Parts: sequence; structure tokens; C-alpha cells
Amino acid sequence: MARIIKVSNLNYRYPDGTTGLKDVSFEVEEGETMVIIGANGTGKSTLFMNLTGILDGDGRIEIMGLLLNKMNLKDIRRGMGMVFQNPDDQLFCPTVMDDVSFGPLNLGLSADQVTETSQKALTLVDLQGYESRTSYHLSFGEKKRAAIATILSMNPRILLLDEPTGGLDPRSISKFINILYTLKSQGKTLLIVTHDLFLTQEIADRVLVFSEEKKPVAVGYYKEILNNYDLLLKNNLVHQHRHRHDEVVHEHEHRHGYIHKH
Amino acid sequence: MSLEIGHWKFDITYEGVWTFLNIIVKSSLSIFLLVIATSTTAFPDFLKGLDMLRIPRLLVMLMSFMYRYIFVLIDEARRLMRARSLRYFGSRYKEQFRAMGYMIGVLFIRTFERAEKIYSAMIIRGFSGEILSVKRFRFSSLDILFMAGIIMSLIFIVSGVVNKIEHMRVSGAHLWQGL
Repeated sequence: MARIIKVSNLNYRYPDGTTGLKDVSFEVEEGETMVIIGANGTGKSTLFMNLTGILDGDGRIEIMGLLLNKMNLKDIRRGMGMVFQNPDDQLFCPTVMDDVSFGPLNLGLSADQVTETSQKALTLVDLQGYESRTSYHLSFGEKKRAAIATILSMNPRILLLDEPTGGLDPRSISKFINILYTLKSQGKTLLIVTHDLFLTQEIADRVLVFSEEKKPVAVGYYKEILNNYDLLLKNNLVHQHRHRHDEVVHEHEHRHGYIHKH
Repeated sequence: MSLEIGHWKFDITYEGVWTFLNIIVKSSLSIFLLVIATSTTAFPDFLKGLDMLRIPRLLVMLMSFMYRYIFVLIDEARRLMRARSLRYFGSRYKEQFRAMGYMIGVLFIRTFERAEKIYSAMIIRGFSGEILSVKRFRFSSLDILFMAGIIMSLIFIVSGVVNKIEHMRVSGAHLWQGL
């Protein structure tokens, strides 16, 4: 399979001097789902901002065979969509339909094509009939789904999702995971930033772990990473805790979202 | 006829009253139309209408952003106020002005950063400065009926007022008596 994303020696420093990313290198294969896990403030979102060319760090980024620079930026953005963590940043139009059709319109599609792809995207996220709804009045889960539809309508090869399940209730999470499964089966390359290990277990092919030094410390097949308790503990993705099952009180690593036997 | 207030003297003339009525009628008609337009049209449709009337896209876009984010902003301000009032117990009231200042500052920074994020979200989706939209309005017979109704009622109102004034002018009655 072809390498669709290649990042080597990427460094980023924020204008105020704090380190955003330190010597980041990794590769993503076409069609794979790579989940990037890390505690808060480890540079995961900063990485996404660099991949989309919003932030301009030092290093070499190659996406879909194109080197990320000013000249190729437009072509790269045609094939790669990013969903922001906060759907209120993503949905800036008065109605859901305006938002979903914003991308395809900018791609230069005809009115009929725009309507068609937008409808398809809305159907995929189960938001048919929401076309003329005001985005402000949607529930948080609906907003999250509408946000992903705004990217799907552009039919990108690569999707970057920043905390897709953050702030969602269990039912919305499973709905969201189903959407991600559909995308996966369509052969899309998914890059997901999260600290939700449940989501990671459900969807990941490979996992990249970011440490507090703002760089990846491990990459591997998802089972390998998720079974490496020491690694997860060291990077604040699981924590030691004490709890009670009636008479039995004991202490062990706790993974949120996991059901464990005793 | 003239009016004296202190050492100011006002003359009331026929032309003056005519101008006065002119302004009153025009402005109340405008408000009347505005009320009808806003109470029968959803804001997004209203914006599309403006766009179709060739109001500059940039202006329409600004209005749509304002409409989209004013509630978000109000919510944010309300959250800040709530956070303050939960920790404010009624003493040192002068300090509160300082807190208010901080709050306005925080709100400004948040708005600014949100604007940056929104712009990022726009350029990722291929925005290049050109504002595009899909027009999908159709003119139905109901719309024609509605428009005819509005135009008729406007004609009635205007002609009524004009008739009244003309009648008074012809009969030589004082305008203020007629009113």
C-alpha cells in the first residue's frame, strides 16, 4: 500500500515560545485508520494544524505524494478534510445545508452536484431533514455529526478528526463509531486524535502515542499498544485507581470505557 | 400660525406639515414592511433574499456570521457572568469593576480566537475569498398572491393619506384641525 502521509522531523514552536511539537516523524498508509493518543496538551491538535498547513512548522510533510508547501496547499486541501474539536468552529453558516454545501461549492461543483453530494453526506451521518435547521439550535451530538458532514460532502481521501467523541453521550458515541466504520469500509484514510481508549480499541488499525515531551514515543498495531500498560500509564492515558466491588477492594490500572473482569 | 416657547418662535407652515407627514408615512411604512418581512421570513431566507437583491456578498456574509455567532457570544458572556456571581458575595463592590473589565477582556480574546478557528475551518474547505451560494428559491403562485396583497394595501394607505391632505387643502381647512 502507498504511504499517503509522510511526516519527518517536524518541529513547531508557538509564537510565545512554548514548544508545540518536537521532532515528530511518522507515516500513514492509504486506507488505514491511525489513532493518535496522548494526554491533554501533548501536541496532538497542533500536529493536525501543521498537517493542514494552518500552522507552519519546520520539517518535511508529504501528503498524497505532494510536498506540503504554499504551491501544493490547495491540492492537498482538496483531498484532505479536517473536523475541528468544537463543532461551533466548524459550523459557521446560518443553516446546516449552507454549511454542508460550503466545501463542494468552493471545489467548483455545479449546483446539482453540490446538492447531491451534500444530501449524500447528510444521509451518511443520519441527519436527513436537517437541511434548513439552524446549526445553533442543534444538540451537541447533532452538531458533531453535522460537522463531519461538512467534510464528507467534499469526498476527501484523508479525514483528520480532532476528538470526535469528546463530550458525547454513550449512545451518540456508538452512533459516531458506526459512521467511522462506514468511512473505513469506503477505503478512506482516517487520522483520529483522541484520549478515548474505547474509541481507539473500536476503530484503530495502528496507534501513535504522544508523550508530554510533545513527540511520539510509540507506534504500533493497536492491540500491541493497548496491552502495553506501562506505556499507557507512563503517558497518563490510564491511571492507577482504587475501587470497590462489594467486598473486594483492590487497585489496578483503569481504562475508561473498558469492561474488566474480576 | 406660530408657536412661542420662551424667546424661540416657531412658524407652522403648510409645506412644513406636508414634509412632516411625508416622513411619518414613509418611516411607518418602512417599519411596517420590515416587521412583515422579519416575522414571515426565517433569517437564513432573509439573507438569501438580500443576496438575490444584489446586496454585496461580503455584507450578507457578515450578517450571517453575526446571526450565527451572536447567540454563542451571549451564551459565553452569560457563562462568565454566572461564574462570577457564584464567587461574588456582595462585598468590595469597587473590585467588581475590575472583574468586569477582565470579563470583557476574556470575551474579546475568546471571540478573536474563535474567529481565527472559523477562518481555518473555512480555508480547509477550500475558501479562497470568493463567496459562493446555491440559489434554490422558486416563485410560487402563493408568493404572487402575497405580493399583490402587500402592494394593494400599500396603495390604499398612501392614497388615503394623500386624499385626506388634498381634501383639506381644497376645502381650505387648517391642517391641524383635520388631524
